[in-house]
Amino acid sequence: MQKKVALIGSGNAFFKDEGVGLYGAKYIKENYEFSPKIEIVDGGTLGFKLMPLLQEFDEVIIINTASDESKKTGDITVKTTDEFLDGSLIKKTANEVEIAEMLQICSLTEAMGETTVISIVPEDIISVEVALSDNLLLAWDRYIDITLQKIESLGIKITKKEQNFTLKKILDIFANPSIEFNKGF
Amino acid sequence: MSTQKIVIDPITRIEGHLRAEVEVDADGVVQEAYVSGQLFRGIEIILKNRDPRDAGLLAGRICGVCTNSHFRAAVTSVEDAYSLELPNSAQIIRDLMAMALFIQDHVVHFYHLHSLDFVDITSALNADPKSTSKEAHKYHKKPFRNSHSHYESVLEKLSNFVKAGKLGPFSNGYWGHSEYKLTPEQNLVIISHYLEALKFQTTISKAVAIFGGKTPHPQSIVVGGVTSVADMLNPQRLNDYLFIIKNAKEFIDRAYLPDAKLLSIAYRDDIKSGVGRANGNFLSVGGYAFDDKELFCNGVVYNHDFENIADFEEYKITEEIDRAWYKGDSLDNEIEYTDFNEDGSLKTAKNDDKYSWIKAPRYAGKVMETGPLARVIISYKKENILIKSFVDEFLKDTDLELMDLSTTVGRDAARAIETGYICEYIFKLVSRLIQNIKYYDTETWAKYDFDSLKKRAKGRAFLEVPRGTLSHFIKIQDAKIENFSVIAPTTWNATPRNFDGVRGAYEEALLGLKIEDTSKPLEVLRVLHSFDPCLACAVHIIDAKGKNLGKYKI
Repeated sequence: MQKKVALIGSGNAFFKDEGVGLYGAKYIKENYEFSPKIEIVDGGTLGFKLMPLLQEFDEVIIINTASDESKKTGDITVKTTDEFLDGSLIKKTANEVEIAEMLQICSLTEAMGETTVISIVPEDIISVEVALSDNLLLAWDRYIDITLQKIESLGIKITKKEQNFTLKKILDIFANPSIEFNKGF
Repeated sequence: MSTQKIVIDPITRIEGHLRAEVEVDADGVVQEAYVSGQLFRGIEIILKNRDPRDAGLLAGRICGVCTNSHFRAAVTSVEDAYSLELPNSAQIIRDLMAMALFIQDHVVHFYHLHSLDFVDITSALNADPKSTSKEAHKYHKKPFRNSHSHYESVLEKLSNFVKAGKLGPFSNGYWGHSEYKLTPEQNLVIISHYLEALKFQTTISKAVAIFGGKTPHPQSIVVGGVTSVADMLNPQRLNDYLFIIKNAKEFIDRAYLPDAKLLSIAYRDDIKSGVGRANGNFLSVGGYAFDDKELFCNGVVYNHDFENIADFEEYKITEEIDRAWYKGDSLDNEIEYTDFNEDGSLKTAKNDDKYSWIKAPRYAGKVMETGPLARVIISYKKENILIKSFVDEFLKDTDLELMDLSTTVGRDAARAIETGYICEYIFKLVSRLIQNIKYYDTETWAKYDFDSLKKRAKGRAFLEVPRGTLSHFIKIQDAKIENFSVIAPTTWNATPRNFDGVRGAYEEALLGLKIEDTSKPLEVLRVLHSFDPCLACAVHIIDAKGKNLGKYKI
């Protein structure tokens, strides 16, 4: 049977770099097609509420930030759940704390999907704005590529859509969600 | 007298970042406590200058934990500003979503965020499956998944888990701590339900989605009602929802409530000696209408005087910042961050030292406790027939009095009791909705012409949400949001002091606590977890000046 795969963008869209996972997931959703299809989820700051997803899918990829002062801004790490939990976790944002603890809790159940966490070291998670810092902009293409490679490694074919949905457009949507124009994730 | 300071930072298994500092005497008894919100979050600024119709979408992102609650509160405050009347069916649909969330949140809190403060996983390994089955029968005549073979398979899973060295990640489980009082069999019963509750979550979250539309972020609540999902009142949709709730009720009645009873009985001494009791001031704004009644009564209790419950009056709410990292007027949100002492501890020595990002809401100048315990006490003493029998039954089965609930374990019991009567209430709500449909009352959105609405307006929403009282306040100017502010449940419970030095509910609840082993302050975690803290939205800051001040101390 074909594996059920989910890509979860996690973070808070309103605190600059903390939203990078969300922007990344949205970017991938708008610019690529997958065969077989994968589920792309707006994980936002759901934290513990993501537990059901972890059990419903065979493979889960979470993309988020991971504050780590020993690393350079923009550094990207790819970890399995075990690796993620074994490392000395530096958790700064509310969301980083929750993702780690949610993985701990779920690790007790056998129904938990194979989970990979792709994290980027943020520069500014304090400013209240929908944007990315310069260093994260520099790392953006690599962040997307690494995520796509991970998806591809699960045997999924990726095709670039014709349209080019820019990061700028995505930031604009997150900054101006609107009921009227049905502009959300 | 020599005292020792214990610092726990961060408190784990909560949403957000909380720090606790307690001073204990030579016997390990807490003499003083300070609780501090350590994350500095600014969200309300995002809502400034927006179209009021989008307030829900933005507020829903304040924090995903309560995305639905903030979404609804924001939309309700806009409706209040414009004096929009909701169709009854829309109100019911919103309530059905909210009630499913109460169930989901309470179950996750009890099992996944809190139970390991009482349950020792390593002890469960020594349980005998047969005796476990017998033990579970003490708390319910038909316990949830109670066969020997089921317990055997749970034991096998657990022992594989422990053997694989995976217990490591649960670094805050102080396995083997002398304060773990449950027998191996009791531990196994609750752990078995812990695993079941993980599955439970996946189903109950679907109940919210049935009316919420796209998950995990619901989008169906709009100013004026509910929409975006076609045929909201389709019988199949109602059926699916009911089916999930029926199954949920099985788990609540046969696992969650019995486990709360088990804890209440096992920790009777703690309960009777008042461990975790706060100031005894309780606040509930009430809500969730049914006929001429409400599921929760509104009211205010002072100093555990249950016989004199005052009505809730919103003008009595104030928000102060004497000892929070702000200056000027509370609404200006100007930062005044003072950093820590040189030894890394909070600055608390003087009565004007600032030590938290959490503001200090007060009711009639008093510190308040809000949440399931407040709702249960107030509604029960107001003779609310939708809940009374549930409270009576629990107290009878555990041989406790109402006052006993005002403790750490009692707070958990109140949450479980509440989950029980919410299930019952949901069935009533659904039959009301079916009645509406029968009489062709299927309107779920009140039409309005946005351009003809007032350009200047003020509104507010007071909602009881799983963790307690949530208030949103909105000011609209030139048809845009001019000002938005939130007082979240945790803001009430985790409040710092003011100049008067009166402790917040968390701080007061920690006082007098005996800590067996100061290097393993399990008791402190228990007390704080029993309030179901959620810091992500309790801390708010609105000024971009904060940029330079947002230092994180881990």
